[in-house]
Amino acid sequence: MALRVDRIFKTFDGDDAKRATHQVFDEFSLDIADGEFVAVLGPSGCGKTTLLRMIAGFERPDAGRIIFDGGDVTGPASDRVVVFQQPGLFPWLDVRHNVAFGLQLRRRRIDWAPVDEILSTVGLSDFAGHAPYELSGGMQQRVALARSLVMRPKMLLMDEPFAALDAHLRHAMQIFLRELWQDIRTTVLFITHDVDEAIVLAERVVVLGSNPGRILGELDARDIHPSSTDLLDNPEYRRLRHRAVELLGEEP
Amino acid sequence: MRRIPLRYVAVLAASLVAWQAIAASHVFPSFTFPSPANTYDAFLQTLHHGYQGSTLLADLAISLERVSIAYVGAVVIGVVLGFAMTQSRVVFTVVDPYLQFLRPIPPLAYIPLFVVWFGIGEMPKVLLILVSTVPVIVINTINGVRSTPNYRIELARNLGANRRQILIRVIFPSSLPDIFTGMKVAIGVAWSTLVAAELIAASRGLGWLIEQAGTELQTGIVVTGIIVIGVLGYLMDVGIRLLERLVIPWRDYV
Repeated sequence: MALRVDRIFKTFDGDDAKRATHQVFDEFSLDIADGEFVAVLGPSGCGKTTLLRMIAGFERPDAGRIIFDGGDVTGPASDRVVVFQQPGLFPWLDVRHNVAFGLQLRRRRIDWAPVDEILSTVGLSDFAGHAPYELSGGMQQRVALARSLVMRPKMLLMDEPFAALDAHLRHAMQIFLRELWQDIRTTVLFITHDVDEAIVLAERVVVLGSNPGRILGELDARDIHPSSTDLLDNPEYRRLRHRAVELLGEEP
Repeated sequence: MRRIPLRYVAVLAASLVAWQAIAASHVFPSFTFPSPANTYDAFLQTLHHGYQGSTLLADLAISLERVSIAYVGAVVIGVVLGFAMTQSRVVFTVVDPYLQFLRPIPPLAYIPLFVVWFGIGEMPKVLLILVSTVPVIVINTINGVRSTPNYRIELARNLGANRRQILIRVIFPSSLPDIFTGMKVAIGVAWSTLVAAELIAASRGLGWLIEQAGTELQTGIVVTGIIVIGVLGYLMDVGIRLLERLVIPWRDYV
């Protein structure tokens, strides 16, 4: 088991009298196997981003355990790398140095071969010397992905990484990510509120409900790929999509 | 550098014509209101022969030296102090009250004390400029540190950065745009304080030149001094902007 979220509790204190204390998770559990690609699908406010932030180690559950790779998660580490919705590249570094950022934290002189290799994997070798702001949104997100992958993380935590991209680019990035994952087989937890995105990307879709965050149901979507054409004519896809919408619709 | 737009040249020319016209009308006596021609003569006079034993270039050099030393010192001290205040609660608690207290006091008010403490040499003049400039840099540095986007810090932590690495590799570059904003404001403050500083028993310098020529009704020289300070201040501002574009070309893209 790569990740075990074991009966966690998490509340947010209300800021003032109007916002009462909010129970985000109440004895929530989730297991993710090694090399699995799991999408967590849920409406905004269901706590899916909080879940990801706790797995990443930015926040702690109030109670319960998060066990990753055999040990308790106590803080952020480069074996679980987050890709956020905003690429968040450092504008003072060129693309190549952005990708190398994590490696250069470990030692002053680094081996540049993996950096250049990963740049070529994400198709940005020709842009190595460019500033991030000279790149399109999709390219920036690929740099962010490369920056994470070069650390050889055991798990990728993706928080709606394609939500800011336009539909065409999002689709291209989905195909890219799925194919990349088929090559490297890193464990992926992908957070999204987009039903189609969850189904085409992941092997397993976990549908989350809110107040408190809980699993409404799971879908096996391993046969659906983002690169498949005529998805709308695919009965399996339509069945999964229908089921997901149904689960989400059961929300009060 | 970009070319100066034609409309600015036109405004400048029109101002000169108006200035000459008012002077030529003799509404004001010529010793109180020098014409452009008088001013130009005064300029050449101070340039070639000097005024009271000091040439314009010598005055310019000494003033530039005072401003530059104080300014560079203020930037270094201000940035270091600003960072120290954001990283240590103790430093912040100790320094902040003084900063808030000193900020609204005009630098002229310190002059008597500075003369008593440091005499009439270069030290009190440079210190006066420094003291009035440091707070501007400190406040902007603190702003820059505090406005570092949280996602940058989280990203760095996620990739394994420790506290020191976050400070040097993420927070420092993130705060550069605000530090440069402070530097641009500070250069104006430094030049305005210069004239006050050179009231301290100076015998050379642009501030002294203006002051001294004023007491002798040499208004052409006064105007010359004012224009030279204006041009120098402008050139230094341009210099800082060029440096800014070199150091943080990404400023407008974030």
